[in-house]
Amino acid sequence: MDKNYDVIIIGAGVAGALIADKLAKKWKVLLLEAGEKGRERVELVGSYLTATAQTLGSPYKPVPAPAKNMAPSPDGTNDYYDQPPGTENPMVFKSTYERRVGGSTWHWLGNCPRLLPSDFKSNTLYGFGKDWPITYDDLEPWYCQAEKELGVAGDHEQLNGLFGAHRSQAFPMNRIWPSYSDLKVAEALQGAAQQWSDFNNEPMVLFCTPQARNSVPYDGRPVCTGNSSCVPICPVGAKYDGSVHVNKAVANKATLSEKSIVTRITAAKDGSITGVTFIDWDGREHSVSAKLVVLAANAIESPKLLLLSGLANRSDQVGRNLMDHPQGEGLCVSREPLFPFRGPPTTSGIDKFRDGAFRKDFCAFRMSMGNDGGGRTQSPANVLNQLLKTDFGASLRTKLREKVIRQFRISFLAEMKPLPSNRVTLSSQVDDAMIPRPKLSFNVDDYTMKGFDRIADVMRSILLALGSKPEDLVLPNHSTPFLAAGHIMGTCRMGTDPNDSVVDAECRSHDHKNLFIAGSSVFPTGGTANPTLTIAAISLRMAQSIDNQLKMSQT
Amino acid sequence: MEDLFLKLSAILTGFDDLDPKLGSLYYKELMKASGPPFTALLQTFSSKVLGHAASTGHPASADQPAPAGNPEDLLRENIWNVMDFQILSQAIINLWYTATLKLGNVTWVAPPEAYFDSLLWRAIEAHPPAVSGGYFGYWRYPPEN
Ligand SMILES: Cc1cc2nc3c(=O)[nH]c(=O)nc-3n(C[C@H](O)[C@H](O)[C@H](O)COP(=O)(O)OP(=O)(O)OC[C@H]3O[C@@H](n4cnc5c(N)ncnc54)[C@H](O)[C@@H]3O)c2cc1C
Ligand code: SF4
Repeated sequence: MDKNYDVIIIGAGVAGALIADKLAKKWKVLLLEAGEKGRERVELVGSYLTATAQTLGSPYKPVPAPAKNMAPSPDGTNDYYDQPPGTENPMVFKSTYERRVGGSTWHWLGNCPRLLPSDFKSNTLYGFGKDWPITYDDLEPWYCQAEKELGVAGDHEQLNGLFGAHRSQAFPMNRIWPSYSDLKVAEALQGAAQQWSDFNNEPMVLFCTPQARNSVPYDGRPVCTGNSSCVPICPVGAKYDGSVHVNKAVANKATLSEKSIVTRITAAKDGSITGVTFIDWDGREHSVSAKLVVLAANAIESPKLLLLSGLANRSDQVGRNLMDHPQGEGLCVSREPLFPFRGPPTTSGIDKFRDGAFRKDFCAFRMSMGNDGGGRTQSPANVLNQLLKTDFGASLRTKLREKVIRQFRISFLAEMKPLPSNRVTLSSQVDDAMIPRPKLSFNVDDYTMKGFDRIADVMRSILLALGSKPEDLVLPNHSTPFLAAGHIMGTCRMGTDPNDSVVDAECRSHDHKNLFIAGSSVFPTGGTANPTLTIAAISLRMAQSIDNQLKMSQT
Repeated sequence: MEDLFLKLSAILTGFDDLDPKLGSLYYKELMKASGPPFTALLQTFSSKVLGHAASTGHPASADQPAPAGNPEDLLRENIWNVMDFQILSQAIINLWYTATLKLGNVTWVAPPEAYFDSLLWRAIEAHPPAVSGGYFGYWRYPPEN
């Protein structure tokens, strides 16, 4: 492998891969990935089908298992993270990621809403968090490009102008069709009472969720045939994942080096970045140099690496403001059959709670309609187990059908405030590669908890509109633990002031002009959009800034 | 014996078109996991549910009539209501429905082909996650039957 590059990119997830693809057309690019490329998709699907516990990580464990797990991925709350219970850690951080070529998009769901214009100005408008140094308008052309790159299917008419979010271009593909269940829910909601003055008394309308899943063959990948296993793996590649752009980057002559765990970013005395040091899975150390380094290792691994390297932290903000989208769910048994477990896990949502004056008092949220019956909590296997206590034969079969085809799940994803005490630091425990594990401290404050009560009200009225008996309702409450969205954000926030932010509006480190940070770690606030489309938009924008900077340095 | 197992499975699961190949695979696995009780279960099924005829190979005659009642009732009386048999029967149903055998401390996951045929998904008119065999947009409509 060559030792000198124009650009070294750390992390081959969607962020790193997109940047590698764009830059490799003109520059000599090295893409370093801690995880492996691994087996073919069909074999991964096989592992998932036959796993005793079908966890998020179940398709992806290396086979044969290496003696040492050099690039461990969290597949639970304590198998990799260090988060001892205690006052520092009032809540457990549950979101995980996948360390492999292509990154966490292998097991993501694929929902791709944009942030709203107000999400970039929550401090000015609602008095919480920090405003972004860029606006929705700055990012809008990049959102369009990101939708093309990832292949997002959506309904332009429905979403154009949502809370002021204009769309200058249509989606590259028509929407993914709503499910039968969505149509039934929409019907039921037409008659539901709307008595919420804090939400403007407007009716609840279902919108098609924009999603990176093909509604027609696109970019050499097939159409979605509704296999319903997007999380943790799409068996046919109809759902976008980061491997798409890794492959494009390699075709553009980027060098991909898998099983390469960066242990340190190196800097000269004047603060300019010189390159990185990494170890391979055999524990051998290598050093490579570059004119510019992009850190795209995700919102837990990126700050970890900066802390390990002792860089970019003049503001003391590295690792702080760790966010997720706290999630919860409501369950019911509908009067009419909805026929779940057919098609993508969710196809529609309700966007009306994503913005409003109420955000001064409590969190915004977005609702998603499930196509997955009682979800994980009341899965068909659980219903079967319940019924098996008393029933067998035809009666078992009928009761199982009658229950499951009527089960319905609605979930919400809420905004949380960035809190400086929510933090990634270095643990004293190390992983198999002798690298400190991430130590996490996490809490969700009253602003979000207060929203929970309103969310439960809204859910109750939706579920009752479906004709559920009150005794079949399960609603979130303060004592239900949050579910993890997998949306790991914050930890290297962008801003204009080098004293309270890590990177500038171009995602360039304030302290090191040739170090860029990609991914949701730069988000100052989380809004209510799943983060990846914004990650992609920012990455594409950053690739252009980097290209300009490299050109300037040549002249 | 495999044939008996398939007949027993049909009554237990409520599906009468079970795949004999899977039946054979499951039979072997159950023998491995719990041979003697499983054999006893099949013998009881044969004698008390299907009637003496099946176990002796002789047709039911005047002095040994086939038991009265429908097979489900007989099964409930002679198998389901006997604790040890019930546990084994539950494991058999679970195996056909989910392609996983859980018995005592044994957990065995069948190969992917079995997963495709697991009855849980057929019972709810869906398909096992990761294998739809459908076309784009089929989810917009209710299942065909
Ligand atoms: C269950 C689940 C569902 C989700 N659903 C959605 C959704 O519907 N919509 C949405 O927008 N988002 C969703 N997400 C979030 C989405 O997966 C992430 O936002 C996205 O994958 C982040 O991409 P990334 O490239 O920034 O980071 P990653 O994909 O995590 O990639 C980072 C890469 O860097 C590598 N790396 C880390 N450390 C090092 C190192 N030291 N040296 C070299 N390489 C390193 C890692 O191995 C990894 O491959 C979901 C997440 C989960 C868990
Ligand atoms: S529903 Fe199935 S085919 Fe469609 S994207 Fe998900 S896993 Fe792939």
